[in-house]
Amino acid sequence: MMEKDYNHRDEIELALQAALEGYSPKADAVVWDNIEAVLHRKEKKRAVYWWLKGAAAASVAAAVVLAYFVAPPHTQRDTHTVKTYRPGSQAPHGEPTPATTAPSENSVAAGEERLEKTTPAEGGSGENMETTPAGAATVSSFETAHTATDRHRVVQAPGNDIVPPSTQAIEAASLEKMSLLALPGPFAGDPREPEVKKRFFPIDPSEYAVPGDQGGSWELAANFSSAGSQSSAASASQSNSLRGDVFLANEKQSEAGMQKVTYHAPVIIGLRGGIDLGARLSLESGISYTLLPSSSEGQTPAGEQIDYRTELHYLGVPLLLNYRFVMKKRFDVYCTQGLTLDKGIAGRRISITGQSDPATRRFTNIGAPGLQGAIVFGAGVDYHISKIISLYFQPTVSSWLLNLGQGPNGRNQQLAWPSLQVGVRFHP
Amino acid sequence: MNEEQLITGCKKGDVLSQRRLYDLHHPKMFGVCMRYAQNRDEAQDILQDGFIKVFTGIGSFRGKGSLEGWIRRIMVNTALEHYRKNKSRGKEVDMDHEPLLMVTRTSALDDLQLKDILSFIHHLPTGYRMVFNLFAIEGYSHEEIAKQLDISVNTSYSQYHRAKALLQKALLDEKKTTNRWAI
Repeated sequence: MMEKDYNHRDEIELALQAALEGYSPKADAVVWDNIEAVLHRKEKKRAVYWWLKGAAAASVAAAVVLAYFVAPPHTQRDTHTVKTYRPGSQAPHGEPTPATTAPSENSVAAGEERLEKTTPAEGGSGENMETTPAGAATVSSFETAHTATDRHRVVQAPGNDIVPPSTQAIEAASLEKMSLLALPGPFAGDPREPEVKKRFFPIDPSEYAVPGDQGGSWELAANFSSAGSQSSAASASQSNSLRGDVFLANEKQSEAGMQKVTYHAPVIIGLRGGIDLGARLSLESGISYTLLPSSSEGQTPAGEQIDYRTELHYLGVPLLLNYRFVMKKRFDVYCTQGLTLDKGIAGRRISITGQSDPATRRFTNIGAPGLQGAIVFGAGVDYHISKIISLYFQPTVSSWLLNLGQGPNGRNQQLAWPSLQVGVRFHP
Repeated sequence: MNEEQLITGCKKGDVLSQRRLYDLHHPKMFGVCMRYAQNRDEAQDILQDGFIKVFTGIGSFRGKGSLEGWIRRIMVNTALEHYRKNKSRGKEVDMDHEPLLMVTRTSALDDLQLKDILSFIHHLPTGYRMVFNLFAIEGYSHEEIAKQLDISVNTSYSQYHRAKALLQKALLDEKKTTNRWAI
């Protein structure tokens, strides 16, 4: 049986080939113009590509250098949680005692109150505590004794309680440090060990305990005010009032007895538009709204649970250089780099007391945060819903190096802050 | 400027050489593009993309075959890329759903007029047009076509023969019409 000849050609194919041989229509002049434009752009593209690479490398280098020299001090975590001093005694290593280091006080938004440290002997009468008028606003800034730059503000809404670390927690934390500093080798079990240990770790709660203090230690107490009245969580009744430095709210996961702060995923929505600098390169700007939520939790002295949620609102203006490396009919995939400047527009704290329904919610205006600036790197996808409008979806990493009038927030607590941005992009 | 000088100039990125090469070859290549495209605009898109590939890839041309043949292969490949792109976007037209507009005047195979052939080719469904062009005009085998279009050899063969039958039927119908009016 003969195999079928799939590729047999007869006279019709030959006739067709002959007929089409001389077919040479002329294309429109615009075709050559387009070819020339593309070829010319490709020559330029190589230079742009190197320029982009250079700019990216310079940006990264600048970010690293700035982060090293300019990054806010609280990014360098201090693991000390609580420092206590005996009243009237000289702090170790010549540090000033807290009693001689007056806290600076600044007026802030209404309804904030002071955190103080008292001895258990104070008895909760509050007579030696600085009182805060109803609705008045004060914030105590406590400078730590060991570094003047490491300043932490403790801000509390009226009627809501910050739970101080318990005596046991302070002791446990301190003893934990002691154990971490336990001397190895020749000093282990040596009778000189306490002396040597003291040199290395002078803050020993047992050593600095107040004479006659039942617990042999210090206790922190917040100054709780509600509708203008104050009460103290301290139980003892001694007139010694001390201020201490408290590290609060800077740690995502604080140490024993400290308040825990969790930074939640931000919400970033934007409108962007720009100009094309080439077939794939564009410069764009616009406006973006950012919501930075964070939460923390604590307990009242009565043992009641309090949950805090802080919301910071920003409006920002980005200036970005985009390079589209994939261009399809509906989709573009691009990378971006640039700067963004965000101005705080509002801030509030919501405190939720009580676990049972209905929980008590209090809203406190904590004022707008200041200005934040960042270097931005990202990659994203543009979905074109029409010739002039597209939706973008852009995972971004930014480094918030400029912090003016900012407390600690989710963005300035780490060098590289990841986020996911969505928005509308205009292509005029 | 001979062809060798033109090629050397194009390899150096000389715009004048590129323009001359384009002027020399673009009419014939546009004819190739016209056969694969559904309309003039699409043909110009293919021509443009094809020549950009020619100029950016001319460094790889070793001069072993003719320059025209090399450019022609690029044009055909570019046309196939366009076809594949449109196919993936669901733009391919099914033959059963599109009525064929037959040639308007053909007295006999010997008298095949260029515009009639082009009209016939343009009104073939896209997939059929590709197979018809590649087999009848370019001289590809069905195995090569199957590979290029990602179809089976049998599909290529059956599509070509159906297109050819349609052409013959059109010629026959046209001949009958001509004879009736001639009486």
